Amino acid sequence: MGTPTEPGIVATGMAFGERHDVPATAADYVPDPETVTALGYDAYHRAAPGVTATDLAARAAREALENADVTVADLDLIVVGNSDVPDYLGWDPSAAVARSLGAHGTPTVLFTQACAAWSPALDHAAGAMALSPGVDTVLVVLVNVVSEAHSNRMDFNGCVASDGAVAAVVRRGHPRLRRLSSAQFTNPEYADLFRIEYGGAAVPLPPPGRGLRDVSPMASVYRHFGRDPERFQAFMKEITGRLADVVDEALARAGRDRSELTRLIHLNDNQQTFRAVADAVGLPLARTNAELARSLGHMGAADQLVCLWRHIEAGELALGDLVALTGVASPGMHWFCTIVEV
Amino acid sequence: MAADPPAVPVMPPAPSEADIAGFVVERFLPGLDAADLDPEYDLLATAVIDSLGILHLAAWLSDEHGVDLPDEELTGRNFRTVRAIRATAGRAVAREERA
Repeated sequence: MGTPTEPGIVATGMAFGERHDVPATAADYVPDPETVTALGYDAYHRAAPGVTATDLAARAAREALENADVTVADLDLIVVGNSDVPDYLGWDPSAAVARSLGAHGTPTVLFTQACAAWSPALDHAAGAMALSPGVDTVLVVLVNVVSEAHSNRMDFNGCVASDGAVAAVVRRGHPRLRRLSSAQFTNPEYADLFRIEYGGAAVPLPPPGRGLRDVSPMASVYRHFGRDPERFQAFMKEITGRLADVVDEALARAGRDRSELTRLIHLNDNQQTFRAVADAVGLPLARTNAELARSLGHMGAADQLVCLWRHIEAGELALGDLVALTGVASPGMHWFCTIVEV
Repeated sequence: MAADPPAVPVMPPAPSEADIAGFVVERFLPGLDAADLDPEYDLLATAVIDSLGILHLAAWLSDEHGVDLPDEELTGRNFRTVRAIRATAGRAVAREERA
């Protein structure tokens, strides 16, 4: 019998911004703080001035390497997912993270699919192992630091955005936390939803008298659906319906089904969405990461692996448990699921 | 004979608080008497109104009262209470009249 080829997570590391209380600071971000507190978040993390996404990513990566007892020289590949506006345009944060770690010659790759980046990042690690016999140890780093010049962390998409990074050392054939399968659905009809209107090549600067954040993301969503409540409601139903579909597809690819699912780890969404997602997948809310989401905030692409590890540390997952990591991401819009066996 | 002066468009008045309370109760709070809905009752904090509710209200204002809200008015704080919705509609009517 051969060694399992699926990659498994050996160890992780994390680095967060400073913790802030949502009820105490919401009025600093929005004129109607009650709308933010109604989302159900208690806290979020905010990078201190001068601390960049690369800084947080490198801190998480060093901790993961130490916990896995490997050095940067042992890495065959570094995969970075960066879910917010990068520090610079025309610049590769994956190379910046590698430089910060002291890597030399190790290939790096960058995923920028917003808060979906975690899933293709893990898939890329698995794919590299499947295609290249020499790739045995991969560092996957996921980071989110909100550019407050471009968006309002408390007035964006129904979440309170949070700054944090997680890194995982992934090894071929590792018998714990095995990535079994993934599934994805993309609906390109929604490609423009929640985009940042100004600052890209199409509209490099806001019109005179307007700022980078002057376009309400929700107003553009309403416009997309012609302000038709029925079309918008169908969109809301599509969000949870497609999520259940990708969970089923990922489970089927692993030869499993929903009855075997121990836990659902979704992006750190608001509590109302968590209830809808749990209902759609058929799991009780207590078997999701809803409570962790309250205290962490939405850390973009870092949510799923941060929460996976937190549940393990809390003793809420046991050997052999089957976990669905899920996310819905804009821009895209994408639905992702990755199945992990603890 | 002199030509008639061009007709000045007459804007409909914004709906009253009672009208708005009636719609809110019918749509979101079935079973409640509209007269019992305090115009300062927080519809957002109590999750009576959400992003979908905002669209229902905007569509009702447009379809039933001819009040079209500009994009920037479609934010939660403008739909927090019956009184806030009345003020939001009133601003839109005033804007149309100025235009």
